[in-house]
Amino acid sequence: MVGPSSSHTAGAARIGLAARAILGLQPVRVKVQLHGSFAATGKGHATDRALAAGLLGFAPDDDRLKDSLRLAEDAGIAISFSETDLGEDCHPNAARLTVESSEGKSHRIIGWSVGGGSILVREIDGFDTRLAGELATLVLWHKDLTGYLAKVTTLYDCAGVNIATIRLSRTARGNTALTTIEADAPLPEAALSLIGGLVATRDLRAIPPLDSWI
Amino acid sequence: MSNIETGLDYSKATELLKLCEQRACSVSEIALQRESQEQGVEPDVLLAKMRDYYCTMRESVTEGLAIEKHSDSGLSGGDARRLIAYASSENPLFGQRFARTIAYGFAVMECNAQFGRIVATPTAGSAGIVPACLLSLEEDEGLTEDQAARALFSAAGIGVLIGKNASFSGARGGCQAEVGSASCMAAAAIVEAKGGTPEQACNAAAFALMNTLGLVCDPIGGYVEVPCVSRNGMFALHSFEAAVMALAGVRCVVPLDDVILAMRDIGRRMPRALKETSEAGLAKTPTGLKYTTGKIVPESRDPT
Repeated sequence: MVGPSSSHTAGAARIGLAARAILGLQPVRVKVQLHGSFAATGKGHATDRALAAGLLGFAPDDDRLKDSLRLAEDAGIAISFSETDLGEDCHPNAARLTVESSEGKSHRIIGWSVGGGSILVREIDGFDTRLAGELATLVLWHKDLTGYLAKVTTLYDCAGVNIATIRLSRTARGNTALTTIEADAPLPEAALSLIGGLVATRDLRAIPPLDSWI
Repeated sequence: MSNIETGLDYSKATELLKLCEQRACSVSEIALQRESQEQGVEPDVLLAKMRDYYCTMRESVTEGLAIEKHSDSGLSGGDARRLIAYASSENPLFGQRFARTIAYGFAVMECNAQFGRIVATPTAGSAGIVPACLLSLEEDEGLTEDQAARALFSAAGIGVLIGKNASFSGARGGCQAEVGSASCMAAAAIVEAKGGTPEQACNAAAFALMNTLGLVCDPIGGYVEVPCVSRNGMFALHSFEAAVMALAGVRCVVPLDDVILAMRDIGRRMPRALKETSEAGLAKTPTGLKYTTGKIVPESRDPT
């Protein structure tokens, strides 16, 4: 890795990568809210540069991390930083990122940097989740309908892809829900388009592992 | 097949030692097999990957030893060079190797402070210890790259215990979770590299971690430089001390599992001001205050 702290730099870079991956393309506007130790010592630990590097799609060991704030500006990504308090239960190294694409699509994630550069995405658009970014991940925004998950998991079965974790959370009965699935391999294009074609699916994103081991 | 099915899963040192005994192998072998199962990758591929990491570690030492200029903060830079020069001087205290090992710990951290590439072992703030120990073994004991890769799996095998039962994060557990963990992992690696038993490796790990308990994380200005750079140099030697005790047959009264629990307990009770927030300790001394605030957003507070 490059940068002073695995939690504050490598972990932060991965949180940036995760936010970019969940949006599905390079954001044009990003609001970063820093919590706890990220806010307190982020400058010395280059947390801002690391988040920008991740948003640019750079891996945590990319030399360009050093100049990423300028590179982000050159690439047309406007990043604003502020402090926030995400509450007692939140890990001390955490940030909330609101990413916006040029077409006005927007997502909000909360990422925890849990030590040694590992991360957990704990929230996507207000839904609880728990993604480490180490496996092939599928994020599904969908209507809360009976049998939806059964259809999706059947497609995993047909494709011969083994599911490692699965998590569904919803706001209220019949409203929008979010399902995240981590699997040992990515789902083939054909299966993805079948899931995308389900009536209840509102949006989906297939995310490869964020970066290689360690 | 999962590690639970193949019986390679462990979360306590007692379980790890049992596995070593059942299979008549080292901690490094268990760690390697476990990782191989978990990732579905052949052990040879993982060993090759670990060798690459070891080479990156060596490069970070070389880079750090050549640094002459200060880091952006002005808090570090040039000291690894000073130490290596002292090591090569006529009559260095405790011999060449002593100063050289300290120099290696400094070198990685100085390299890191200047945005060079390092391997987080287990974290960036504690990245100097494991490389300093292994490089010292390479130069003075003839450790090969393959053996170094193995030794890194010994370290990883112990790291699993800390990751599962406590934390590596300075913001969670203070410096004991970072430098303490690194030193603990390095001590076990040294023991196995010197032909010690898994039991001795766990003893060394216990001694190393037990004697870092309570270390706080209060870096000046929020930079990972003071005290981090010198601490990495010093605790590389600490790992050797722990290894010597274990190899001599000294048993740590408190076993590794309990020491890890103590580390977690102390980390939980440690005030937030001393856990990587730079709100107390060295960071708030008159000297510490001279260095600019480490905040990205100087004095704002966003309640949303």
